[in-house]
Amino acid sequence: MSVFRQILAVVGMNLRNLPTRIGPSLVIVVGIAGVVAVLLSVLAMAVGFSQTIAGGGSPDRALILSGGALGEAMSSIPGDSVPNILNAPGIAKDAQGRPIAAAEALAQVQINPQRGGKPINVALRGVGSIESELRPEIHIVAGRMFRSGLHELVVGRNLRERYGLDVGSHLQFQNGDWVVVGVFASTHSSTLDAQILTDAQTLLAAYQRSWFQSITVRLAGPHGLDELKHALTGDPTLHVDAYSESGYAAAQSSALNAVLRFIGYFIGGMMAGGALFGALNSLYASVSSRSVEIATLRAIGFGSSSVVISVLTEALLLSVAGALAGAFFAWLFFNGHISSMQLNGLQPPTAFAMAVTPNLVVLGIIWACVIGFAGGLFPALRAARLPIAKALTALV
Amino acid sequence: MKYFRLIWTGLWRKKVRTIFTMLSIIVAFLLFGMLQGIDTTFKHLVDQGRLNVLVTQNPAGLPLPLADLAQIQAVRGVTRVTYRGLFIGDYQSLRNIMIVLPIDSENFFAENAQFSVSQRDRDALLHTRTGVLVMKTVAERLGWKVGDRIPIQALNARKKDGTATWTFDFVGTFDIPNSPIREEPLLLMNYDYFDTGRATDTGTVMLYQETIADASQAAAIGNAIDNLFANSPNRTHTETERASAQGQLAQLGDLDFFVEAIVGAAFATLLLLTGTTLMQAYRERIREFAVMKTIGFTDRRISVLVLSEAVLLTLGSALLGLLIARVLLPTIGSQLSRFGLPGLELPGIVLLIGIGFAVLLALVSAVPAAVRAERLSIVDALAMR
Repeated sequence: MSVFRQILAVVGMNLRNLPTRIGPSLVIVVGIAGVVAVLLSVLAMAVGFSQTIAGGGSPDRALILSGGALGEAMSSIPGDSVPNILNAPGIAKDAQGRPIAAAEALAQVQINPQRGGKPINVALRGVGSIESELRPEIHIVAGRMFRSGLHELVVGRNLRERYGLDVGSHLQFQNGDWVVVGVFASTHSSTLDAQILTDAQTLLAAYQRSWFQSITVRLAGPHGLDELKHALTGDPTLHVDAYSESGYAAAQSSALNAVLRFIGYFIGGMMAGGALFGALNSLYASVSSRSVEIATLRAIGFGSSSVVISVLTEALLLSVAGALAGAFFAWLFFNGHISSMQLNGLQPPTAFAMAVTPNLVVLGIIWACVIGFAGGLFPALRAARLPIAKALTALV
Repeated sequence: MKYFRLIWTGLWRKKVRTIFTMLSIIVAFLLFGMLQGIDTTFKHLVDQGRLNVLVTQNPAGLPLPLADLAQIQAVRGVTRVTYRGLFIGDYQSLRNIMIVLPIDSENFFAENAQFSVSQRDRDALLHTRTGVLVMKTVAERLGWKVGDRIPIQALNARKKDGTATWTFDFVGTFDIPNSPIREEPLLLMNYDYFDTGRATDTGTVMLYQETIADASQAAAIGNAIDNLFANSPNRTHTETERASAQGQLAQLGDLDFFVEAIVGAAFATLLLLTGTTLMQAYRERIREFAVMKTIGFTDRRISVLVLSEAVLLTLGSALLGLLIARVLLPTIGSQLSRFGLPGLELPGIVLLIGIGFAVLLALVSAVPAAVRAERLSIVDALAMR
């Protein structure tokens, strides 16, 4: 009998009598399912978060902030310097020759989630009238766009899903009653999906402010950013700097992303350790309960390699089953789940949809196989080294 | 206790298996201890928020005019008012973020008794316009001494001359004993130096803090304050210090939910693991139990022996895991405090809850084996039926 057929025969026999060892086998499956579910859930937050942050940034756009500001919340640009900035080279123009750019103002609004719970701060962003050309990825999914001059708002789709804000909702702030007239969504998930948009001038008037936080511009051509940066930093009266929107987004999210990944791998790693010990226990037990069977096989001429492979196959199959179960639960409970996370203490939290991606599932299976292999190797070696005579006499 | 040796020997019947089971339990309780430690640290921060102190802020996240001060002081029930700004900067590099609170140095300490400052340092700040008091642990870490001049690069407050570097005179230190935030890079400066030096938002503060005579009147006084500014362009939102801390915790995200989900997953796995291990150990010893029953051990005694073995195994391992967590947490916490996170510790209550869980885990997972041991029939067992 060829080695290959030997292996096939032993593996098949081993798997057929797996049901008699259901308890210890379940320990491996459940243990690994737990590891993979926790690992994937935490990483799904990291992935969802960075997708959302990166989704808002486009390489064709630039963000202008006051010099030295670490983020929009720390930036302020006086209203009277806006026209000068918009005249800078490097900004794309529309058909009428107007720059495709908007000075934007940010404020925070406290909303009470409709399902109860503590009030939560949400960013209110005043945007320009040229929004559809500046951010073509935004489209209205319910109701209509706000009209300037009126206390009208459009809300991101994550706010509808998480806090129940919808067309017709009213919000009270700054001595006014504001009505939600539309819900918008971005083509790719974006931080904007967790914000409220209104007309910038209306917002400034309501808050009696004369300064903006940032200016978002569409860049003219591939060298637009360099031209813009050069012109802006060359003018000492402006005190502003321009950043590529996608680069800015990546820089903003990198720290929190690293923390989330660390938490995922750290907790996942610890749980993997626990599951590994469980797997070792179960497989040692499995080998010792089959010692007579293994010794008989060896006595009638099966090689020790086929025994080793049968134990490892059992371990790996159970681990993969566990990984799939864990990934399924992570996907079932958390894929698309709207979570919220604060980038830093100065900005309202960002709501985002968690994403259990195929890449993550593959990562989970790899982890499971490593645990299964490590947990199966030593029991397999013990099975191979089992002294045949001793194992067979133990029966009598 | 005369049976301790018997239980102990039973436990180590299969050394490798016991060690692996112990390691799994240790890991699970280490995880439990660390996650609960983080969770309780945040809750502890909320509990430190006082109920007789109100905080007034602009719900828009913008500053409030300092001109509101006199009106707030006049509200019935308010005994003292102080205010502060917020200045965030870095020392030498962005790795050393400094949170500087511009305070009203005459009234701040009377209202915030948790700050422990010597009278000498307090006076020094009061009389040195450009002075700064530094969190003791931070001053020690950076080796700052009285008389040093400390340049801090502003991230949110540019100066009138267009530059962003503020220079401070180090005049002393303060401490916040027993607080999770006592390793945070917190500094106190004079509001006056801050406000006259900055280019924007002059004459504004980030928040007002009011001490009230009667904590039960908190809601009414808060409303009275908010009503004063209901028709002004800068409306206010007043709540107790504790409610404000709770709100901040809620902003942080679904911390509670994740801690519970992870601990739940770990414990469910563990329950199954120890359950099957104990069942295996029981099966291997069926004959031993039969012999013991033959020589006079009662059914009840046998089942108690099985249970005690399980409790010893899980409790011992759980304690080990919790102790490791207790040692590790402060170390991790002080590493993270550089990023402005609170220090971490494992309070006694978490230890107790952990011990409770360990006993529960032992009993639940050992009950099937114990019941079978109790019902074991000598004849069947010896005949291996």
